[in-house]
Amino acid sequence: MMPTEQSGTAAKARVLVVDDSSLVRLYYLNALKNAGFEAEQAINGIEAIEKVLAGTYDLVIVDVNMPGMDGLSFIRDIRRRSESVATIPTLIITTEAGEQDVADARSAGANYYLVKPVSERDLIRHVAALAGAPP
Amino acid sequence: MTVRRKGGTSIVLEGECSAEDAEALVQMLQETPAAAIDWSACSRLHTAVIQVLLAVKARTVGDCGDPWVRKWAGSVFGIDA
Amino acid sequence: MNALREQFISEARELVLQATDDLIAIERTGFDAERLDRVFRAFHTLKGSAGVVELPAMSFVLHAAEDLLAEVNARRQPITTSLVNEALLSLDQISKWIDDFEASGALPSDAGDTARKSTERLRALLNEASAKPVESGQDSGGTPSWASRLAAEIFQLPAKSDHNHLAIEYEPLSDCFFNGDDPLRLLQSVPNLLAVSVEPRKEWQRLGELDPFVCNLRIHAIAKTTRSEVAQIFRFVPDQIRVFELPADAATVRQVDRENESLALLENILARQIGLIQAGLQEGDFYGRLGSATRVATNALRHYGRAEMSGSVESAMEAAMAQKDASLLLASLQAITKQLLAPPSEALSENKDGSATRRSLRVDEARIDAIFNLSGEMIVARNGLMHLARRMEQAAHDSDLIRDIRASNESFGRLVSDMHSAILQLRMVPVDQLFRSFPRLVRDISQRLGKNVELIARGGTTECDKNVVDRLFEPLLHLVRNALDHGVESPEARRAAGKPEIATVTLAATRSGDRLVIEITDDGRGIDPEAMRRKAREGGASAAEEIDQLSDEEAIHLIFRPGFSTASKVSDISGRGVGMDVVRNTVEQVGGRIALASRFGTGTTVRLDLPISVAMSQIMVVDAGGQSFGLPMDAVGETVRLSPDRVATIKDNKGFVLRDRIVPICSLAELMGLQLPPAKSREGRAHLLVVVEVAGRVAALEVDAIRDRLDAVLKPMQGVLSNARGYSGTTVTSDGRVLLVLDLKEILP
Repeated sequence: MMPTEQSGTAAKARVLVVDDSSLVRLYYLNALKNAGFEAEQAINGIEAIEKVLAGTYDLVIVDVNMPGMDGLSFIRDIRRRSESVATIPTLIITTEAGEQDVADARSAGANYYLVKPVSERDLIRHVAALAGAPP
Repeated sequence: MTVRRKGGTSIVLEGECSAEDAEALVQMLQETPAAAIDWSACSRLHTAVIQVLLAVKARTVGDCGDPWVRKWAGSVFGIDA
Repeated sequence: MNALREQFISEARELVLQATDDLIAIERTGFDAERLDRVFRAFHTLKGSAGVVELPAMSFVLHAAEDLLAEVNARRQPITTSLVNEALLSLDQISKWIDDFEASGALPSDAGDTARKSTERLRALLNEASAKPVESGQDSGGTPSWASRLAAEIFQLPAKSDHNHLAIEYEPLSDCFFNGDDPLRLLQSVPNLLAVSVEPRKEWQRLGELDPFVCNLRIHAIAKTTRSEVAQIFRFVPDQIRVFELPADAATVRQVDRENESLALLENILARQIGLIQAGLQEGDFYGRLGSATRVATNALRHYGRAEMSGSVESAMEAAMAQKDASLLLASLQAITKQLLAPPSEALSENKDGSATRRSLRVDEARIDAIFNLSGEMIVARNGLMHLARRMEQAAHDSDLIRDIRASNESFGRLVSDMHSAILQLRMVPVDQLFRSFPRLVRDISQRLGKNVELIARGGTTECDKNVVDRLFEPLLHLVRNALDHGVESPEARRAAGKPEIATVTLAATRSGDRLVIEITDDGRGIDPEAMRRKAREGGASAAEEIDQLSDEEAIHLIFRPGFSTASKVSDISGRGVGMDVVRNTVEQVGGRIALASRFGTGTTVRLDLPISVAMSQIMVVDAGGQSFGLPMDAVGETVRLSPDRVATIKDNKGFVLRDRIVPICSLAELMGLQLPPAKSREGRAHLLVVVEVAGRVAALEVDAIRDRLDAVLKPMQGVLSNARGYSGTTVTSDGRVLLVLDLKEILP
């Protein structure tokens, strides 16, 4: 069990962006920071798990297709952990939203999905709601 | 097509489990009602076997080896933890 | 008819609440003739009333509960935790049905089925030997109730399809195994299977008597296929199959063709969390699945201004964890979705004999907020008029005119004030709304922690502004969790300390002048000032001598420092910890104060001192010149990131083209007289602009960064700064800093 030594939390939500493309990460990070979120990045599922174990996040945005550990595997992994790591809200970014893909996402434990390409406006709207930004 | 013991208390379902195996399963459960049932090595489960698991609210371990059951486990077995 | 309905609804809610409290008390104290009688009569009365307003499903469940309680009363049935659980669960169901009835005048189409299931659970406790057959109910509309229900659970049912979807009911014969049938295997050949559910036809026998060769299943499925396809697959067992066509709108589909985009997104989010839970558990992810769904649901509700609903979701999560039953959380999410979909209804009741009963209106909260804002503006306008009247007085010489103007101005002023007060009154709600979900919460959490706790709530009728009450739920939840987790000792420890085994946590609300005081008291172990000092020394944030010199009371207040929260077994699933610093910031944001009193070994009291009525404004926090400022959101139009080549210079003034007008750019840092970093270092970088409109003029403020948005109570400038121009007040950010909120009219050139 992790001791919760937290410094006073700002109202700002903390978001982790996980994608193997540096361009995509840059795009999301900029959009998020401009909208007033605290944003960090990880380049794959493994690094994301490390980050998530070491810090606190209100939302993880993760791409479905990544080499090594893919998005759904990452989610499956954290859902089996304990405490606040297991319950982190997750938003997956996918290229398809067919029946099977949606069912797989649900089954893995993803809370929401968006289909690429995602406009900045849509991204922020959804992040704000999923991460619980003040109204 | 086997239902066998493992380690004294657990029960393992292996290969294709037929209706007859349902009887063996019930007998083992009557001996050890709280046994965990490892169904990851099975390939097919007859409805009679699935029925037993439902009726006793079995404690299953691992993902079911029968692909159809694995896909619909949530709906079929409900959401009892 | 309406008057009857209204009365039933309020009476029923009252009875449910009372029965809940009594049941929880009985569970703790054991057999108590008076309480038991009260609970029995509550169920009995409810049953009768449900019959009068023609809700047979509800009567059915209440009847079963009543029978059970009769046995308990006659001491033929012991009072066990599972009995109380079942009774509480049936009350939960009744509550939901009352809400459904209020919203739409009827119970949902699956009420019959649900009633049978609930009844079975209640009767099972009576150890009845004979198994009752389980029947499925049918809608008079032709689509069986199980089909609508199953269809509604599908994640995404496309609204338009070339063929309809089919609902299949398959009841294999009991001896079908002897014929070599494998019913579920047969089902697998159905193409495009979208949903499956399996239930027993008769109650399952006990393990000792279970006959594995008798098929006792009823299988339901929804598939996108044709009747002929189904007929072909089940051609050897046609008498065991029934097929229904689902109309295209059978499932409740989350379509986004509503005017209100936000509401649609909120509903989508909730629907997907429901689907997430229904997708079923994969091994080991019960907590993660349910917990993340809870976090997302409460996050979204808070974001869309429905924070008051998140309380019940959190309660349901606690209950689901305690009972290891995900359907509890599921039901809560479904109920909330229903509430969001139900339009506000107006129910006017008139008595035939014209007697004065309290008539109530259900009104959309947004409308009240709108009136409230108008009233605030009226006050400003009236101030302007007063000013004009004074100027006129100085110019005019007709004493009659002066007197008349003054009188009219004063009476107008009084009316405006009175109206503002009356509107403030509209937003007052009893604090009981806040306290209501706690008895159940405390029961579930303390059970989970293995502690024995009684919750006492006092002063629930005290009233307070809705905004304040809404914002207090979370801090109050944290404080109660803290008390249960860290304050209350285990039963053994309490016995060893000579304390009564049952710990007491009290929530008390009182009014003190124009303040509302809420106290949370526990008789647990209290806070050890020495332990606090030790922790501070370890932390190293202050010098050791300073720490040593702290009085006990000051040492206790160290708990408000960030980083002082300790690990909790009752984890806040968001992982942000139940830090007292967060609680304090939230309380201060609504204009309140928090104080702590504790005696080590005896207990702790947390005292919240809050304003009774508040006006909140929305503030955008920006950085400029190295400082943070608040901008009132109602002046802000949009934010723009401008590349340097779009900046035009016109006569020494910078501006840019926004759509079809020229907007001047002012540097906020400059306006506030702060240092700008040298121009060279900023060359080539994009400009971050906040476009504001004030008194009809549009301008763009250049800032270094845009941070939060807050809902906050503005405190007027005080003391030395009260005459300073440019500020409309101060507030506290969520991390405890004082923020100056700007009056844009005064600072823009």
